[in-house]
Amino acid sequence: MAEDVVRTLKLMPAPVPNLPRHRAALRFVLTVAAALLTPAGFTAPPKIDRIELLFTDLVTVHFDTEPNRKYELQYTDGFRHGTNLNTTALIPSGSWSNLFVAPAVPFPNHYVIADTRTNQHRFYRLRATP
Amino acid sequence: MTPPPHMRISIIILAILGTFSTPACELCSIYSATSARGESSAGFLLTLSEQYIPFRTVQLDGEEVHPANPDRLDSSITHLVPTYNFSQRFGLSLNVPLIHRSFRRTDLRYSLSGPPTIETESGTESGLGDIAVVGRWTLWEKSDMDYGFVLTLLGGVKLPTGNTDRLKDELDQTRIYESLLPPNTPHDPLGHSISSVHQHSLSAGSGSYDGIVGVTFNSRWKRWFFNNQFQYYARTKGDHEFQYGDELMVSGGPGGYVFLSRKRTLSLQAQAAYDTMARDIILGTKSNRTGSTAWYLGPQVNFTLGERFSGNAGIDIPLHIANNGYQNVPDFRIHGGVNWRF
Repeated sequence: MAEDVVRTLKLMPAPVPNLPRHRAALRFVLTVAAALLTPAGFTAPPKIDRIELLFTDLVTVHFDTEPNRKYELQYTDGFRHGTNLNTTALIPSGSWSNLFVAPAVPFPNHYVIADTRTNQHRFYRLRATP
Repeated sequence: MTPPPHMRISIIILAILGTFSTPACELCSIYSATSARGESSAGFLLTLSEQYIPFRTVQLDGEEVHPANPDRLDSSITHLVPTYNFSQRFGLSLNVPLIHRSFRRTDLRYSLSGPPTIETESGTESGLGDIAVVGRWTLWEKSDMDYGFVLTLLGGVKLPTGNTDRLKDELDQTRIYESLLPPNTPHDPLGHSISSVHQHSLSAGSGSYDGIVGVTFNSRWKRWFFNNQFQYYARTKGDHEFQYGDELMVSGGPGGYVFLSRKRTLSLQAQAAYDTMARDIILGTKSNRTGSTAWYLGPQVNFTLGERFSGNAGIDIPLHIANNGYQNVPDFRIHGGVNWRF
């Protein structure tokens, strides 16, 4: 079964860097070309739009869904320190658990999933099938 | 091109209507039938009617879809309508609806203490609906043995007598979902729901005082008749900041008497109906997941027994239903009723 998994570690969306003008134009052309060449039925990779704190005890995870796809919002509290270039980075490890499963419905939707805040790191990822 | 089955049924009925011969003094019987229905006499009239609608077709923006575990709703509304006609021209009716709805729905339940849960609920909702008081004024009437015309105005008010617990629960969910969103995030007030049977569709009452206006025009020539009804429901804000959308219903069509005797009559009618409901307003915002416009066509049978008893039965088959968002829409509508004139 085809599935997409996207991991996210950040709490807020990263700012878009200012690109030189010729790179921005090239990026625009490539984006248009990709859109024109995209076959019908193409499904976008799942994406967590936003993770933010709410009240004193909650974290909310926001994501959009496409029609007829099931989405699993998963989390893990396990991590290890990265050993490559950035040794301070935390890499999620251990098993992932489902926090919420959005069933396949025939229309696009937006979900806001509340999670209780913990005293440790928590990593989220979004998985979509098909 | 071969017409669809429901069109063929109507064509056959109209063809049958054209083949009946005229019995002796048919117009006396027709005249009596009008009286039996209480349309032209003062006194007390009691009507018992029923409408059954299975909402089992799931549509998304007017297109039928087939989810794996579809929600369903079967709606039965029994109307008890005592009427007192003060004169031939004026009457007052009390419309008492008794509602029974059987349903199954799967939906999210949001909370402020953790992730939403998915719950499948099966059950029934039964009870008194919103009672309406409706006055009748016959604006113009011309009646003779050969022909007749009656133009009637209706006006009334629907009272908030039905239970609105379902509305409260739906609005609670809307408020919780909104509190999880960043301020000023554009969203539909029913964005929390993934069900095609919303809770406001199960509610027995609206909690609102709504205006009702209507016009009926009945015309008859010998054994043929043509009836029209126009009704408009002007909704106001009800309980829990929920306001149902205004509704316009227009129906009518030609018919003819197929059996006539001094004591009994039977007529058949081809009835077309147009029903449009505006979008509901929830917490001050229109929901694009509500509202629909539907066209129906179907036969109706009317009968009278003696001078006091009459009845009718019919079925409306949808020709086209355009709905907003994800909703269950009627498979068909069955309706019937009996009248007793005291």
